Amino acid sequence: MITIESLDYNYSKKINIFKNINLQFSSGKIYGLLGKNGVGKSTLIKNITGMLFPTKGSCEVFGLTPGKREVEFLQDLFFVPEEYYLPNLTIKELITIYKDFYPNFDVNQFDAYTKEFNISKDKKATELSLGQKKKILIGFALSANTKVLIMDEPTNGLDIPSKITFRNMIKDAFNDDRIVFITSHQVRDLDELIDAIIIMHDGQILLNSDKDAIAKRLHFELSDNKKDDLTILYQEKVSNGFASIQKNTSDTLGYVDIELLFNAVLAHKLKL
Amino acid sequence: MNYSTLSLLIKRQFKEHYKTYATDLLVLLILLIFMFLVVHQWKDSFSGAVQNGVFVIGLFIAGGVFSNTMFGEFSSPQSGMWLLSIPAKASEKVVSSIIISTVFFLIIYVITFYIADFFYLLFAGTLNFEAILNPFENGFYQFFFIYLIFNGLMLLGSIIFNKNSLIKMLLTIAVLFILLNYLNGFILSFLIPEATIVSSIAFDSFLFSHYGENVKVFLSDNINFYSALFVRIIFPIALWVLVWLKLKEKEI
Repeated sequence: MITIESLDYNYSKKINIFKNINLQFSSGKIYGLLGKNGVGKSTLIKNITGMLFPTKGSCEVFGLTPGKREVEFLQDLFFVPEEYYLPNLTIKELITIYKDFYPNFDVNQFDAYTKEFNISKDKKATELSLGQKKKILIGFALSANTKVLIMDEPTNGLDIPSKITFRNMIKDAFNDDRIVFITSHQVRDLDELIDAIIIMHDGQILLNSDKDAIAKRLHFELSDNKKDDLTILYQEKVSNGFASIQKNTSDTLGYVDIELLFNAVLAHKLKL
Repeated sequence: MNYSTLSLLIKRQFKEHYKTYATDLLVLLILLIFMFLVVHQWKDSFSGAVQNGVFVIGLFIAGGVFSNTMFGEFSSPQSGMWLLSIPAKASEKVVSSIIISTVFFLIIYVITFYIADFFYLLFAGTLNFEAILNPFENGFYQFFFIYLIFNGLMLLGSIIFNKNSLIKMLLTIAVLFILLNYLNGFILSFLIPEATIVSSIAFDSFLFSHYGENVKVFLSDNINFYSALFVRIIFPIALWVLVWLKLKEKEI
């Protein structure tokens, strides 16, 4: 479990990134942290991964403090940053050297990914395209089988087929012991993948809810014409008509339009 | 300290940088041969132990550059995060860097120096056993201890400064050295106001003028022991501990 309590982070005395953040992440869920560029998503992630230390408050990952960067913590958390680095080694060498740092690393799992990506293991990191490098890093991250996997904008730099492959990889490698935490400003990329949604704006958490809980309470609908119904909580024009959100009065769980939800929350039209 | 992690970290460092190290080694050999050629060409201007001079200059140039690359990952946030994320203690990361930049470096440096020295003596026509540099003669080995201090400072610089850490740390060392020298002179003039201090070396000796004659005063044997203990052991260890603390609190 990841527990964040009363977390403040300031870059300097004058620049406050976020204040009093409280969050909890449980195993067996894929979390999507959504927000516009520059709202503090990466800073929050860096606090969880131990790259930055909180100004105030606490953050614990399975009882360990990230800032201490203890071996047990680092062995059980893999972070794929938005702008990533791979050492200048062949993929084979990368695995030979780094697999021993991760006790649960599965070489066969990694081999299966490289085959799926059609990338030769004799290639060096410098010989790979940006997209290929990212695939290798994501493959490595999944094969490390850490309890926590955090990815900052993982779909950036991936083409459409690779985005589908990425989603399948995450689904296949996911299990009940894992917490997967993905940030993105490309909301649609996370559709169908995530179990819980966190929306961040201006250093504040505007929404933190399971997708099922949202589907239970809200109904998303696409219509040809604009509705003037009082039950409509939020409505916007889309390319093929009008998308709207209203209270779910039935017992069925419908589809959650994450992009529409995101826009509604940011427009302060929804509070869950 | 986990020894298998330590060996993994050392293996990682060599595997990732072996090409650079091989090139650096070649450059070092050429640099040493070039310095020997310069002192041979102008041998009348260089009196005394030219081999010792070449050894020390080469040691500090190559050692400074090499030690500075140990935490070179911090020159970019991406590689810095990669380094910090490697599942190993900060102490293991620091110790592996110290082992590589002191033990391994000194072994390779001494071997390379003697290869260059051999060619120099061969070229100068003075090749014989006595002509080869003996680092244990006249306390010359002390430079190895000074190198340890220099190594600690360079490692510290590579963690503190993200960009151009080599230049920034060399400038810092130069400023510190000048300040320390002035401070030493100030303390001496405070302790012995009647003496005219000509020069001084902290923790070692000072030279003063007495009725037009220069007199050199060394520390007493007893104090000299503690001074040597401080300079050779305590100071380098203190710097390495500082490197460890800085690495622990490094943020990206």
